[in-house]
Amino acid sequence: MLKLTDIHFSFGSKVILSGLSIDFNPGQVTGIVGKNGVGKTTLFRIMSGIYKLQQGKITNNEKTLQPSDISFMPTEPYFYPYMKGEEYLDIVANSAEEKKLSQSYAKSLELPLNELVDNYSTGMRKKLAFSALFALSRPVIILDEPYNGVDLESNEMIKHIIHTHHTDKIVILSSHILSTVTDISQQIYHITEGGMVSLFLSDQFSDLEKRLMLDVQARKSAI
Amino acid sequence: MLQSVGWVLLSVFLIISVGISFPLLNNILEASHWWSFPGCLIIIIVLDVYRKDKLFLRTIFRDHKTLLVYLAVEYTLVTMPIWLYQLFNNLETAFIVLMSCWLVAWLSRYFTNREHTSTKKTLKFIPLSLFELKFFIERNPISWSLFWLTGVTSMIHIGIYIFWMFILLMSIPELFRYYESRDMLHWKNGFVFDKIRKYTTVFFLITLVHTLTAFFFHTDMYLVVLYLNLCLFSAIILNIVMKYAGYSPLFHAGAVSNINGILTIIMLFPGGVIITIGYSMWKYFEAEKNLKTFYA
Repeated sequence: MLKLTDIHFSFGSKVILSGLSIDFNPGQVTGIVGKNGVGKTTLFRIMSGIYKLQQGKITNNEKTLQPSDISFMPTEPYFYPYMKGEEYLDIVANSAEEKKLSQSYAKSLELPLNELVDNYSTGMRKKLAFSALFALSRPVIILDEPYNGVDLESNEMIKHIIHTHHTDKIVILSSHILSTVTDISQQIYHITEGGMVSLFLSDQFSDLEKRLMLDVQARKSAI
Repeated sequence: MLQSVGWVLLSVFLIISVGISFPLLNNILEASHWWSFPGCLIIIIVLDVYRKDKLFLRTIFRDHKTLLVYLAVEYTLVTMPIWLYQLFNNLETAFIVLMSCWLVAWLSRYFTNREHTSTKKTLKFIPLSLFELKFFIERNPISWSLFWLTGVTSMIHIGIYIFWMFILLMSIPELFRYYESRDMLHWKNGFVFDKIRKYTTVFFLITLVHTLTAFFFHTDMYLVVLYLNLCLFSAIILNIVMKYAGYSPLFHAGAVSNINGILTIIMLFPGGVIITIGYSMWKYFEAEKNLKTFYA
């Protein structure tokens, strides 16, 4: 089990996460939702080692989580200039098996692997990063807004790949479109300002939707 | 490199370095002043081929004549240290150098930029583990092949070898400018050292024929050849070390390229390589430590 205990993080005097504690189970897809700026991406960056943990503990099966245990797909994946799609998959893969798997994902997402990534659209770049990272045999996969800019058909394909291929992995994903998270997640964490967290299991997803809609209604009436 | 160091700073360095190096080289090589012409021509052709603002310039200057004048003025400024030096020594060479600026400005429209194509010709003999070099050469493989072959002609004159090494040296900061993404970096202990080992070996092989030719045909110049080799390998070490000392998965390219460029240019001053080697050694430990914070 991946355990985040009492995570604190701030940028100078601005507190982003304060005492956040959450658990993720292997073989489960967990959704993370919340307004812009509540710290979803910051949390992912802390988990993947990009930001140094200021306070708290992150363990996977009682051992400190290593950055090498995580595949992290950022909101806007960056690619080395003048590289073809297939070259990216080759470089990222650690074994022939991972390479084969990533190529099959890319093929199902209809990516032109023989073309330069520099000329890919936003959605194509997302799909390429997803294909490479999801194929890695790492226990934790973090996908920060994987559906942003991706066409409808590919959205369905990504959902299908996550749903059928995550097996014993911990998959964590964030999205601003609730239905894309509820469709494949077994549990959803709703993060609010300061890193306050509420857990919703699959039979409580309608409650989450109601809670979000109440907030929208309150803001609508304030206009 | 021009983008990061800036034209003004580079011009200042060029004026200073050429001002010192030209009389020195003239004394050592006893070269004819006519060599300034092919030298300048090669430099500005390389600049023109690799400049990234061509499409942008074409949108500003709709007609060819205005663009031609703009480019000619720019290249005149770039070669200023050389034609200025020749102006007081050999007037006719200064005139020819100035004319070469107009020639390249006119030819510019025929040097197409490969970055705007949707695919590329993959060079399979360069492994993906050397992706910096691979993608760099794949941008313009014909130019690089011609460049490599030009260096072999150093048997004619040692000046060719010096110019060849100078251009190679100047391309090193650009080679290691961009960061790879988090997932492309397969970190292990001694990652930076391993990268240095790989690239110094590759560059040793790339320059082997040229260096041996220079040694064989210009035995009296062995110290110059050795110094240039020392400069090249120091530049490789410096730029790899600087890349990873400033590496962050959040950024696409190094913010420290200014220091990189300056230190690479400093090596052109006699003995300047000592500063670069010292700085690289200090930064090496910082680079290994920096990567550990992200990956260990």
